Amino acid sequence: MDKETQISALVSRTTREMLERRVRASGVKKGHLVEQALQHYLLALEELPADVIVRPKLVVTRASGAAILAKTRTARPTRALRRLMRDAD
Amino acid sequence: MQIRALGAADDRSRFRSGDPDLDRFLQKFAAQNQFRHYVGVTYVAVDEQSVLGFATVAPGHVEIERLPVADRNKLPRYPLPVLRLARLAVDRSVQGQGLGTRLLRFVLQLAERMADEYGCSGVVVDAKPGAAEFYARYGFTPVEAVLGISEARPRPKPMFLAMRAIKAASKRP
Repeated sequence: MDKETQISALVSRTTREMLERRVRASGVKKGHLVEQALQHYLLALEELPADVIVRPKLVVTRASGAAILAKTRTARPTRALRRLMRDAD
Repeated sequence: MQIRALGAADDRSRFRSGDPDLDRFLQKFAAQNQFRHYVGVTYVAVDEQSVLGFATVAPGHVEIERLPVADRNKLPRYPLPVLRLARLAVDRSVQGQGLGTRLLRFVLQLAERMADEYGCSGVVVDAKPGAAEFYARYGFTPVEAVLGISEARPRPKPMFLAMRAIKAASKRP
C-alpha cells in the first residue's frame, strides 16, 4: 500500500452531509471513502474526456436560483409543451 | 421505430447528425458512460438495426450559490433534484420529421416517472447555441450557472423546465 498523505479541501455543506451520511451508513472510514471516490472519478476522467461527462451538480446564481424556485411553484406549460405531451397518447 | 436504452450490441458507427461532437459521443463514449462508469444513460430511437436519434440523460441537482444571511431563510438550502438532458441528436436521414420532439417527450416522461418515484423538480438541458430556441418553445428558460456547466464546445447554455409545467401539460383537459 502507498504511504498515506493528507489533503485539505473546502467542500459544500451538502457534500459534507452526504459524505457523513454515507460514512455512518456504511461504517467505512471517511478517508477511505474519500480516496475511493477520488480514484473512481480520476480514473473515469482518464478514460472519458471532460467534455463528455455530465456534471451532476449545477450551481446557479442567486437570481437564477430565485427564478427556478418561482418556476417550481408557478410555472405553466407553453402551448407547444401541452401539444407535445398530449400527442403521446 | 422505438425508443429504448442503448444496448451494448447497437451499431452506432453509421450515425451522422451533422455535429461531429455529438456523433463522436455516441460512437465512442455513450456505451462507456453507461455500461462501465454508470454516469449517464443514452436512449436511442431505433428502426430495425439503425440508430436514428439519441438522448443522453443523468440525474443531477441544482444548488444556489452562497446566499447572504438575510436571504438564507427565503430560499431552501437543500439542492433541487433534476434530470439533466446532456445531449440530443437526430440522424441527418430523418431530420425535420419530428424525431427530436419525440425524443424530448420521452425524456420529459422519464422525468415525470423520476418525480413520481424518487423526486425531480424539473429538467435541465445543456442546450447548444443553435438549439436554445427549440427548447424555449417548450418553456425551458436559460439559467446563469457558476459551476457545473458542460465542458462541451461550443459551450452549451443550461436551461430549466419545471416539473410543475411538465405535469400540467400531461394532464387531460
